[in-house]
Amino acid sequence: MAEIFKDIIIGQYIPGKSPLHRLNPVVKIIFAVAYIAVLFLIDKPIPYFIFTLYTLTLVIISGINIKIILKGIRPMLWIFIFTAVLNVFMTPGETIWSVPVFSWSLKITKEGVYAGAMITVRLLYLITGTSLLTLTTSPLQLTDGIEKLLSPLKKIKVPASEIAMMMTIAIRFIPTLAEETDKIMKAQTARGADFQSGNIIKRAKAMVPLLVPLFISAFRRADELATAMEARCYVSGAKRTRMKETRFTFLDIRALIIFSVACAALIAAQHWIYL
Amino acid sequence: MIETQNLSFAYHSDDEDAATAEKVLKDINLKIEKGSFTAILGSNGSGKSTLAKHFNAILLPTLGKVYVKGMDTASAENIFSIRSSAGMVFQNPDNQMVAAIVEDEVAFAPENLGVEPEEIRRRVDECLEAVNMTDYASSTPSKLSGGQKQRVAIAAVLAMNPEILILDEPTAMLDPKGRSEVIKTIEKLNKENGITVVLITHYMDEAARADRVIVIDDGLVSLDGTPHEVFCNVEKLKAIGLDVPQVTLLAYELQKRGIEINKSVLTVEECFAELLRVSGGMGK
Amino acid sequence: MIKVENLSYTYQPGTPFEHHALFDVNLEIADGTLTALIGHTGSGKSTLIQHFNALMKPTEGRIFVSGIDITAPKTDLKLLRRKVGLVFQYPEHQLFEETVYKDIAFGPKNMGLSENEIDERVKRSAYLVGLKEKYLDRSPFDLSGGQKRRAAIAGVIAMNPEVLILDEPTAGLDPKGRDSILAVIKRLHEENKDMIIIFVSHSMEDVAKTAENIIVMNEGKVETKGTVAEVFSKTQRLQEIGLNVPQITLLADKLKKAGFKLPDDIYTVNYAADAIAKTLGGGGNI
Repeated sequence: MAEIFKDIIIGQYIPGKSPLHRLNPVVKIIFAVAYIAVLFLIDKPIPYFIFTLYTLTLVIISGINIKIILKGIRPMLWIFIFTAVLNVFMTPGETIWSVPVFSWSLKITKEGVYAGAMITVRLLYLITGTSLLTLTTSPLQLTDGIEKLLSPLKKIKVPASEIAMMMTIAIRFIPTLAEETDKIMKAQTARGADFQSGNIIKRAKAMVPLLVPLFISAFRRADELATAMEARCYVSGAKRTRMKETRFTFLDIRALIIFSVACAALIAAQHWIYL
Repeated sequence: MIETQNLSFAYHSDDEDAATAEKVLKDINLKIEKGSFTAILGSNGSGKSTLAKHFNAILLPTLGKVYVKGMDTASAENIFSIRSSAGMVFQNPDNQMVAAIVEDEVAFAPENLGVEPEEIRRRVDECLEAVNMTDYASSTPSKLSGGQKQRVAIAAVLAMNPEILILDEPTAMLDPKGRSEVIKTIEKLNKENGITVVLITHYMDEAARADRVIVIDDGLVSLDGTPHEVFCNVEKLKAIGLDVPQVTLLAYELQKRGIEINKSVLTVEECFAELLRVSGGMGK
Repeated sequence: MIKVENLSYTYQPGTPFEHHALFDVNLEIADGTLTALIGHTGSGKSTLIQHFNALMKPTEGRIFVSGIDITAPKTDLKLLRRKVGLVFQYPEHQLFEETVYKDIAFGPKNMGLSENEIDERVKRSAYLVGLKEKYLDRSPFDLSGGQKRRAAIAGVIAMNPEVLILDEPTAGLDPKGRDSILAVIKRLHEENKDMIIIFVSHSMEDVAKTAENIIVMNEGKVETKGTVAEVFSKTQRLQEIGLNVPQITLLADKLKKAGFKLPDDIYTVNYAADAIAKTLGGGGNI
């Protein structure tokens, strides 16, 4: 049931004092984007091997228990398997194994196995990378970083501070709403509601007793929150100060250099090494 | 500190004729003294929360005036000085928190007011200390108990350096432990820090701890006085649908049974002493 | 009858968050009784009641409802949940239908009852919770706070459970709302001779006014259980575990120590007034 929320680690922050925790969020967000870009750039075994080493190094530096990251991957397992299987069977190429199914034959190709493996590895690292960002950056720092990155866009009327505030509130309310979902589901289950059986239409209909109360409560919460914010002198668009000013430190500069070199090395490996 | 003059209020007064719209508050005249601890007691729908929302300009009077520290709540230029000098804590602890970290929550209001970072830091530490939540500065609110959340909400308001603290049923959703934590915190802020407190509640035991109790019923001030003066009106309070302390009720019942006992007792000790007096020192 | 045997429940066993919510709980609750479950937050009350209709599965131990082992792996959960109705905290938050009628009918409908049966049950449960028929066609969101809660309780009663469990049914209500819910509980008890009713409460005063039996939970264990009088005779222990004992009980204790001749089972104001008036009037002023 809604227990699934407990396993999703994206958006959860684990306080710590590792170098990764201490990095400027702006730098970290740039790293995360670069990490993903590089991940999709490489497609050969040796670069992947190097990439794995990088990722492991980052996990070790972060000081976060690898079990926590693996736990976060678990709810995505079905997506992994599904995309992998799809790739394995659907990619045309040199057949290595086939079974006839009626008039059609189910084929596994060499290219398919390769594509399946690659997509799985990519998804795996994609989640690991983003999890590392959110696990080592407090939601507030994260939104602060995004606000800073967006701030040049203020000139073209992008409301960077409001977007950041919206994100802060969304992050703040995720656990509250997850708990609420769990509670309403239990309450309706106790009244004989069934969220798990039947066809798609039946299941969609079964969601009504969950969604209506959830939305009503979300609106009520939004309303009350708005009043509470107003009572504390919040005005949308007004200039605010910050208690925690983020600064660039030596650590950020060192990290930037190391990271750039690492990225360059990987891209070079992808380019010059055949495997 | 706060003064209302012929305050009347009706919701949706814009789209209806103000005179015919049903009034939630009817011609209320009150003065709240500096440094006092006032409880506003009433049942649901009595208008007590509506009244409270007038004290920091979240609602504006349909008729009449509200002054906070001499400032008219209806004039727009006063709004920030009013809201920062009359801070408000709400009922549901989950629905008034903006930030995902306790200390960021407390920093929210001074950040809105444009306070310098070092000063915000100082205020945050001081306010968390005042509500005894320093150890939880970097926790997430969702991991706290209800009582702890409400204490954070109080600190978040204190960070504006208010002179008045208005609490709109802050304990209605808490368990007994959380309730007593919150009430103790409020009492401490009133006694030690000299903050004027207005506590809106439907719990008579909380109201009994105030200096003054104002009972609101159907938009009108129905009783106003010290807890001893207010709670001996047992029949009136019962008719409104409010509780009185059990010992006050006992004294009332004993009087009905022909025993000459002073009705205005609030605590077990007072009632005990009164019963000893009546019995002429029983036993022994 | 509900029988709980050596029930233990551990949250997230084997992780750093491991937490023993229930520890070797043994209970027997007879048919037709009205029992209050009391204890402060974290004492295990909510975890315990969620076991009664299998929303939670014990880590160890067994639970029998009317002789059926509900912890056995092949128990028909749908059937069980018809037998054991659970009203959660702030049940009005689960209302979702266009009208009060439809909302109350949600449970019976899920049970596959006929239109006639459903109609009968909706009307009866509305009557039991004291909702007038004119409210049935209104939107549940137009009702007052206390009415919403009664409508939500009616939705559970409409499933005709053998056991009705209410988790803090008076939370957040003002005295009037609270009294109306307690009155509903008493009425349900009087009109359903075989139904087991269990309600969770933080308030010893509410419990004293309403229940027949009390189970006190503390730190995942049953601290004490018995009739209201039996439990209230252990005032000191109740205060030690952080429960707020009613003023009247404290006063009676003090008076007895001072030499007043009062019965041991004083926990309501009227009874206390009678008893004190008797000692004062009867014995006279010494």
